[in-house]
Amino acid sequence: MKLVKLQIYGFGKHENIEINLNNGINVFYGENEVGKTTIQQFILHILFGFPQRNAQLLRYEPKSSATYGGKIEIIDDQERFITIERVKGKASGEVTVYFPDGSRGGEKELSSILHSYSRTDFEAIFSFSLLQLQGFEKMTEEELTRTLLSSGTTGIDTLAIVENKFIKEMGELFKPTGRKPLINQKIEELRQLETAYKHQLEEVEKYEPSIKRLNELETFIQKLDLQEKDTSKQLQQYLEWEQLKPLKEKETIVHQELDLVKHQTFPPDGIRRFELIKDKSNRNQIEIEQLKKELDSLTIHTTSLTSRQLEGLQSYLNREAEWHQLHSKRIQIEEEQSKILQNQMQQLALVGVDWEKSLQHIVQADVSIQQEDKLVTTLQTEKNLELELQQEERLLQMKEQDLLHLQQRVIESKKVNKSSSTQQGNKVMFGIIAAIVLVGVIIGFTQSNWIVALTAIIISGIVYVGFTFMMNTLKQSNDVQTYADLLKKEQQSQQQSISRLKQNINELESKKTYISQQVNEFLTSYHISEQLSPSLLPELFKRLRMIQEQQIQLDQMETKLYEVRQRIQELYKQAQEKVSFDLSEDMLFHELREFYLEEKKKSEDLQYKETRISELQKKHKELLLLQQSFTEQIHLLYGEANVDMESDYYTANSINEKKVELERELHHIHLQLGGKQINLNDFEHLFEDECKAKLLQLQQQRHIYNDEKASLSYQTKKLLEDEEQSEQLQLLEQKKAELHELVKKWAAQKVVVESIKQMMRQLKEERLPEVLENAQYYFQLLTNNAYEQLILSPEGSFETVKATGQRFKIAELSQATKEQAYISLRLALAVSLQGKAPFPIIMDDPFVHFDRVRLQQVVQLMAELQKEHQLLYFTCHHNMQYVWEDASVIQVGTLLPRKVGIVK
Amino acid sequence: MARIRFLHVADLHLDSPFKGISTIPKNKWKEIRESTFQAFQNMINYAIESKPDFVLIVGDIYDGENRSLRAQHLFQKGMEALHIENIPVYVCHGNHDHLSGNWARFQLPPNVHVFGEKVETKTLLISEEKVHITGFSYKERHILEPMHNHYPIAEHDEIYIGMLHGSVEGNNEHDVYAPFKKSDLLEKGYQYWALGHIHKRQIIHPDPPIVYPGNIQSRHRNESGIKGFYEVSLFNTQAELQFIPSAAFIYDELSIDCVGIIHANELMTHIENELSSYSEIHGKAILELTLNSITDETIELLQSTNKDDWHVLIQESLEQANNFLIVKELYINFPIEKSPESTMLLSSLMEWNTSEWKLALKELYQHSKGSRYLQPIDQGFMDEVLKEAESLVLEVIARGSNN
Repeated sequence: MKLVKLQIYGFGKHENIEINLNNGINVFYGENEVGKTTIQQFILHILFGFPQRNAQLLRYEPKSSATYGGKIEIIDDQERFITIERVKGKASGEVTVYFPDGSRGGEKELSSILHSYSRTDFEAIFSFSLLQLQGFEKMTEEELTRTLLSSGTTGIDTLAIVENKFIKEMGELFKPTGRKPLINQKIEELRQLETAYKHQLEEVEKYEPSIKRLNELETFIQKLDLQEKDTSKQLQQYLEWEQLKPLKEKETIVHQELDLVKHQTFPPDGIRRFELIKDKSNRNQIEIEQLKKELDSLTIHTTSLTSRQLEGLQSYLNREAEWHQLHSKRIQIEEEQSKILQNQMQQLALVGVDWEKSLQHIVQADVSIQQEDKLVTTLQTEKNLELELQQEERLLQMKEQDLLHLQQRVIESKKVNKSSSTQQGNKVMFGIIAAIVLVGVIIGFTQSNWIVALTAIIISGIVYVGFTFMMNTLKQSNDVQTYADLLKKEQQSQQQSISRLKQNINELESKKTYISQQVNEFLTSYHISEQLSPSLLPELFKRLRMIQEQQIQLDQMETKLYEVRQRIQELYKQAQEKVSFDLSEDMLFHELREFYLEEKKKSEDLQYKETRISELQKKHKELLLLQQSFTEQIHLLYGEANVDMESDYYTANSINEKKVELERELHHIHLQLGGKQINLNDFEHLFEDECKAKLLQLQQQRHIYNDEKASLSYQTKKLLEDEEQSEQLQLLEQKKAELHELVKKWAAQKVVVESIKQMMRQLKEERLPEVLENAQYYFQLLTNNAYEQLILSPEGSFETVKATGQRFKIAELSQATKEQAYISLRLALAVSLQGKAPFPIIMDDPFVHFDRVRLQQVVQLMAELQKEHQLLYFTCHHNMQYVWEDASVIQVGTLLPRKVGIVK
Repeated sequence: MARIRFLHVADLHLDSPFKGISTIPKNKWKEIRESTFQAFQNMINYAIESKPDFVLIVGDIYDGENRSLRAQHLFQKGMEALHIENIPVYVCHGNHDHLSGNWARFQLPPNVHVFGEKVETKTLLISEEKVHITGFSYKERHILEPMHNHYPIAEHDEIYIGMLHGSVEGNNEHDVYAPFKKSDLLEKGYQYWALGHIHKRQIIHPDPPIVYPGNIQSRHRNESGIKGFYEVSLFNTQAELQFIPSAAFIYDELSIDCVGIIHANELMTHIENELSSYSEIHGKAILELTLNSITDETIELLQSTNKDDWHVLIQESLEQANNFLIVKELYINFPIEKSPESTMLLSSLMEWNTSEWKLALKELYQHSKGSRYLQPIDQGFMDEVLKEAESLVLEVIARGSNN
């Protein structure tokens, strides 16, 4: 940064002063006590703060009433115009930094502008004063080196102090081979703790083996248990054996006996079965013989009809009914015949014919209906004709009468008027009739005489009829005129018809006579007397027909009769054939039946016998077979027993029984033995004692194990609950933590020391050569090449090398040369920091001891330097104003308030 | 599907000591020592009460070298308690309690199913629902193979749960064992992944849940915060996770603001109040106490006495209060006037790599007797040392400037 303007409010003797500065060299010239140093101090005070009241530095507070402080305008490294104003405030003053953008700042910002340089740092590098230069002398080489070199790094003095302190304290904390330092002690404590802990762990180590041993013991004990069990089991076995021994011996004997009879086989339950069969067999045999006897006894004596014959006989017998039927039929027919004959005779008698003679004729006569019809019609015709004739006649009569009537009527008709009275007369008539009826009825009712009533009614009826008739005729007279005409006509017609009628009558008569003749002819053909009336003819015919019919019937009957007789005969013949003896006709069937029954019985008997025989034979066969099977069975039994004879069989049985018994005995023994197989030689007598001794031993062993087990269990349990281990561990950790605290402290100090050393080294290796080079150059310059080199020896001390090659330590140099060397070094240092901290270099008349030549040199040097650096040169030497051409000179003595004093 | 509920616990580290504390009052030692057991017992009690369908313990039941008898005994007792309640327990061993060790074998009750060194799947029926649990135990301390390759792929409609003690990719805090990537696990299609090994609780993936439950009791000042295990409900591919705290005490850092305190008794009262309110919320704890926001007046007060003396004073007052609260460390955050020297030092120190550290400290670390007790030079250690360095330097400078 470069200072631009100084504005002093009140500082030392200056009040309200403004000073402008240039970039290059600014010379502050003033005689003594004009306040040059004041201005110098002003810059430092404003920039780095007013010193503390009790500090060694002066504050330069104005004695007058002027405001203490001022401001400095600078251009910082970023080319900003910044104003730094410091006035009275707290101890170091109240500082305000004014930035071009209007913002303000305080100490912090100022500090950063000043590259964190403190006043001492600054002064150490950038402030050249005689005092300081002379102070150099007093330093040791190392201090010097350090001062020179590490002035670039701020506050190296402090660091030096720090370093020293730390080294001391480190020594108290730790020494590699020491015992007293704290860390060493701690380590020792830790070691001891650890050993103790390990012991603990060892104890713990025992846990698992203890557990293992416990398990081992467990298995041992179990084994012992097993052994014990085994032994006691053996003992028991022995005791059992002892018990069973006699049985076993017996068994052997039984076995031996059994062997003898082992081979014997015998059917199970053999004797019983045998005897059963035998018994059955015998019985069977008896039965057979019985059968045989019976069989023989049955013989067939008689013969009889074959069944066929019998059947035929039976079927014939079934026709008895027929026989009787026929008989009765015959009788019936004969009866009828006689009856009809009688009838016929009657008829004939009725007809009046002598039957013996004319029977044939009658029979043969045609009595067909035709004939009858013809006859009847003829008769009828005759009759009709007669009737007709009569009718006609009558008609004729009538007609004639009519004619008369008509004539009468014509006459009468003229009498009309009287008709009406007749009406009344009608009514009278009616009245009379009614009276008659009433009377008649009443009489009838009262007298219960119906005939009277009836007669009365009839009379009334007749009366009525008569009257009506009369009326009608009267009525007829009403229509007289027309009626007369009509009547006339009728008259005529009547006459006509009468004449016709007469004709008819004649005809009829002739016919009638003809027919009568025919009738007679007819009758004679029948041998009937002519006297027969025609009305009897139908009757006659009827009778004749009847006779004929009867005759036919008789003939029919005859034939029937003949048939029946024939049939009867046949049957009889058949019957006869069937039997050997004679049969009477009457009793035919009865005898036949008897015979049949007899024969049937015989036949049945025979059949029965036959079946019986076959039965018996069958049975016989069966029994024989059974017998055979019995024999076979017995043979089987024999086979099973391996014998042939009965006696042997029984022997075999007895042997077998023995066998069974032996087996049973053996089985019983086996049961007693309980299925246990033992050898007779299994054990020895001493065995018992041995066992018992062993058992005792085992038990003792077990006790030992158990004791051990108990104690181990206790120990392990204790271990489990033991807290000491964790306590130890915690303690260990705690100690470690304590150690850590110490180590931390030591480490911190160490690294700081190392860092400081490193920095030094760095400086030595890096910065120093650079600086030295520069310094050397300056030194050469300053000494006008009297000296060629300014170097740092390997031992760390400065050396100069004259052009002649002689080496001189700085201490060996003359005062001025010494100063020159220092200046070179300082300048070189200040210049080298241009990059990091481009501060203006302030010089306070440092070249007083230089001679003219050397002074010239330094001026030259500064003239060079001012191109890059702002230099503030305070001097009281007059001619210094003029040595630099383009320097700005400030007359400090003539500084007036608010006046810019630049005097060229 | 039925609802299944189980506990997911890991990294019990039974009977492991608490590392990194030195200034513990003697009467609290026992409680601290027993804290893992207490936490374990808390978990067992919870299981007995809530009766889950089963319990998963995913590795590091013991602390390796310290498979103490007592730890094994107590673990067995815990398992037996669960056995009485018919709760099956599925256990796999991790790198600290691997199978190749040389320790006394304890017989565990039949409800405990221990996975062997080969990946296997155990099946159980819960309300007619088949649940397959796949896992494996570390056969030796270092398992570097990605064991997830041996895990079978889930078949649908059946519940598959994976137990894996190992490191997820990217986590280098603990040793990298049985490494896996999140995607590797998701591939298997399990409904839940029960992880172990990382002591810091984290849910790597929400659905399906891939979970590190963390250890149940913090054992180191680096393991701060609430510790416990998860109770998981699986229902129809939906999972509900509930975190159950189980620690006997927690390790935590506490900052107390000390604004405007001038007198010592004010300070003590203030600290006591803060601490008691803390213990009311969190129960027993070991704290690193930091005094913050110190104004000028307080600085004078605090600086008048050594920090260690303050520490002792606070501890004593706590003991009188009778909570289980231990202030392990006291930091006083003085407003630091950072000197440029210290800044410079620290900045250059921060640029050091591990080998430079080792070189610097080799004097001590090569010490034959002591080196084994020393902590390894890792990032954590370096940070610690740097912090210490800063404070020391500042202290010196401050004192120097005052002289």
